[in-house]
Amino acid sequence: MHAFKSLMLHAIVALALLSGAGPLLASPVYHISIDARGLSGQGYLDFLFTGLGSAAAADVRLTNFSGDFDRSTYTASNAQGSLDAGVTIHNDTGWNEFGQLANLGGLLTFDVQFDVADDPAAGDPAAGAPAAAGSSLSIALLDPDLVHYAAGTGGDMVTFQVYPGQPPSFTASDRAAVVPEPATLAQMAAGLVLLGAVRRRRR
Amino acid sequence: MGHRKASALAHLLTVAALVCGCGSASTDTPSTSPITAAVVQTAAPAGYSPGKGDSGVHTDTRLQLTFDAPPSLGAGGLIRIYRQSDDALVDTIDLSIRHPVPALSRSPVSIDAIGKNVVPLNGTRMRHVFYFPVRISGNTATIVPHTGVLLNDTVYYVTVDSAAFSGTVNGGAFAGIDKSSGWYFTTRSAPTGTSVSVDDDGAADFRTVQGALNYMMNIGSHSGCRPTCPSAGDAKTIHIRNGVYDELLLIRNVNKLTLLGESRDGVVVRYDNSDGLNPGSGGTNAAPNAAPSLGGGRSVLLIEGSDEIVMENFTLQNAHLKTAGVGSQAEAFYFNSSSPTGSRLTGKYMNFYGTQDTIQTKGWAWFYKSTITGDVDFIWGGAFAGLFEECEIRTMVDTMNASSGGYIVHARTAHGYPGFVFLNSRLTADAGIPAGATALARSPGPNTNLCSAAGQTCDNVAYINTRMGPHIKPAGWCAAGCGSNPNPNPPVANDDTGWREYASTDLAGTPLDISRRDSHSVQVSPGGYATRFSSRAQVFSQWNNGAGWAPSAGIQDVTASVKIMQSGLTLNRSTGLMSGTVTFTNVSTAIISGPLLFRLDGLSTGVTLDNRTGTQGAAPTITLPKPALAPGESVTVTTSFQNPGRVLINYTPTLFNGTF
Repeated sequence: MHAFKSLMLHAIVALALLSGAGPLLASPVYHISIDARGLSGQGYLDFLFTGLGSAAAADVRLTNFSGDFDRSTYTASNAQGSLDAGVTIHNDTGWNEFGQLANLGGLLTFDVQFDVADDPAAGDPAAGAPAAAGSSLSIALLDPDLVHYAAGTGGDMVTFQVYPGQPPSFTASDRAAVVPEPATLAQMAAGLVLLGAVRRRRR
Repeated sequence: MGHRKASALAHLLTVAALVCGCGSASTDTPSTSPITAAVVQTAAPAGYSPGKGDSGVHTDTRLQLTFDAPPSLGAGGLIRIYRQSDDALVDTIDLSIRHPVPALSRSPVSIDAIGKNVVPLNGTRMRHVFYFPVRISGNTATIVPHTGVLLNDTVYYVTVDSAAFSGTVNGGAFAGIDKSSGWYFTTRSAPTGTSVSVDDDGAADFRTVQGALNYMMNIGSHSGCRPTCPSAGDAKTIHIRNGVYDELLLIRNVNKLTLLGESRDGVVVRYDNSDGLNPGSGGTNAAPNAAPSLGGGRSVLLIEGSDEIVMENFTLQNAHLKTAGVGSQAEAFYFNSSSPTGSRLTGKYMNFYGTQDTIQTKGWAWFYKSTITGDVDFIWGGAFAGLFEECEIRTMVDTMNASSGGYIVHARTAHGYPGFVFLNSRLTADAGIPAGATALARSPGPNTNLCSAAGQTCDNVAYINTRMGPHIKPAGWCAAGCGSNPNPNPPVANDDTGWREYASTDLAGTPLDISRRDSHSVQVSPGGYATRFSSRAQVFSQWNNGAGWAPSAGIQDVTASVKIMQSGLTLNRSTGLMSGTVTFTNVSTAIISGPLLFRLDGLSTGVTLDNRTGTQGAAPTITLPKPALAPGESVTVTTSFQNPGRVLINYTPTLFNGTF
């Protein structure tokens, strides 16, 4: 099932490229593991996906959750889906958030993948668009009040930066492991090459 | 009806209109008389400018006649302007007058009194100069009336003797223009306000720069008005639109005046003036002295008794080319204001073009990102401090002495002051300048003046962090033994006085070999550099008895020169701040000099930039942590927002260099 969805996604990207429409470029899939051992009680595994109003349109998809999760979820603005079906968060409001209550103390794992609109003119002063704006995904463990970091943590577990037309970058805390899926990494590189070729042909 | 018949009828009707007193035939009032209306329809052939019967004519208009083919000037003849209401003669140009210098006697000249009818000058301080009142270009003869003779809201007519030109008009021989020819026009009302425009052809308040200067002197002189000129203390601006302005100019007793060009190369204010045409540095007086030294001097622009004068973004050129038999000194401008507590001049983003003596300045003069050209002594005078910051100083080939590389500076500066300072500038040369031919400076002497006490003049010149082309002499300076030049004063330099350098390099930035520098010069110590020359504020620290002057480069929007990457926002749950980064990368081929100011325009309502370093208007700003951006270089700054309403944060990033 996962392979089929991935294939469809890349087909859509390819179609968008060929049609000349502004494509959504899919990032690699990142396998993320949060080590909550040593923590106790309940807390939210929280995802906040935000950008400036000028940010290129972007989605983040969260799938393959595994861990000791509770039923309660929290969503704000453009977060849709569920633990089983996967969650999609879009970046077009000031506060796009999904939280999943969990019993802390073990490993929490899941996959992350981004779709980011490509904008060839972004960041090109000669095209009258000197600014290119990206989005950030902040992954944190929060207290059940959804305000404070979970006891024993002092900041985000993982932070991603995504810019139009670029592979994401990330920083991870000591409790987090982030592993890009090699196959999708190669597909991303191929997509960028293809994108470049299309642009050259258009010129 | 043939054109000539129509023209003849028009003239007849015009005569009738003038004789009957039926009005000015203004196009604004065509209904005053059927006769007048007929004149308006037919009496403005393309050969006249202003057109016959025109209204709204500028008081500083040129008069133009277009012939069928290039005309030639006669040996004499008068061009006269009369006031229509009483036939009073207001201006006469006598084409028989020639300049007493034989080499300049081919074209007619006339004596202008620049500043005439400027009330605060009271008829006693005018700049008297010879000028060329008629120019022929192609089929058109341009007649330049004397400055200030035409008043607002007045009807004038023009006559031209038949002897003035040889040529044909509409197929017939030019037979002169008399009152019955009907070349009359009505001048416009005076503008108002402290901001006026100049354009040589399009819609504007004035046709000439001096027309606008006369207006500014009338409303804004700091003396001469009773009780005061209304705008004496206000900032005043003359906007000069693209065009070529062949004029001699005067600014006297005006403070806070900016001459702002539309474009640096598109606005050319120039004249072919020289020590031959108008000897001496020049000044103002009540009446002309005996020819040839009338008194107004050889510069294009003369500035007297003024403070906070700014010239920005245009070209000021003395177009004189050295000619045998004609005195060669030819300043683009002479800033003759020398108060220790005033007398500030700024030239930024300018071209000052000339050959010999291009810039003569006293007072406190700051030149920024400007180009100065010349061959001999082309930066000179008695400045307390004359700072050339990030300027190009370009040596031109001396057309009278092609093998000479000339001299850049000729200083007559006051004891105890910095004199001429070149900071982060470049010395370049035309291709024809031989290597090792150009001197950084030569001295006026004499050897008995040792620059040892107040009142003595000194050779105070300092080149700081300046790149020098191969045209500069290995000895750098030109003392005794270099031609017939004298030794400098003082004969032994130190950090404070004399001939000085610090960290000179070649044009690529490689340190120069200074082992052969003239023994009268000195290398400034690191401490001397750090305390005297590392900023413009240091160079001007003595202004106004130590109050200091720190002129601003102004502010320029350089957003188009950078790529801007704005990250998304992360939330700090402990502080509640939403933070991101903004990275600026210089994608231009030129350095973007600082200070660099990042302004967030249109920041969303309810959002506050927590780490702002200032505000400009309603917009928060952050001063970037780099002094400048080289091509390809980047700088990243954090933005931290308070966003209690969790709204979508919007703003437009704008980057400026300079300060508001």
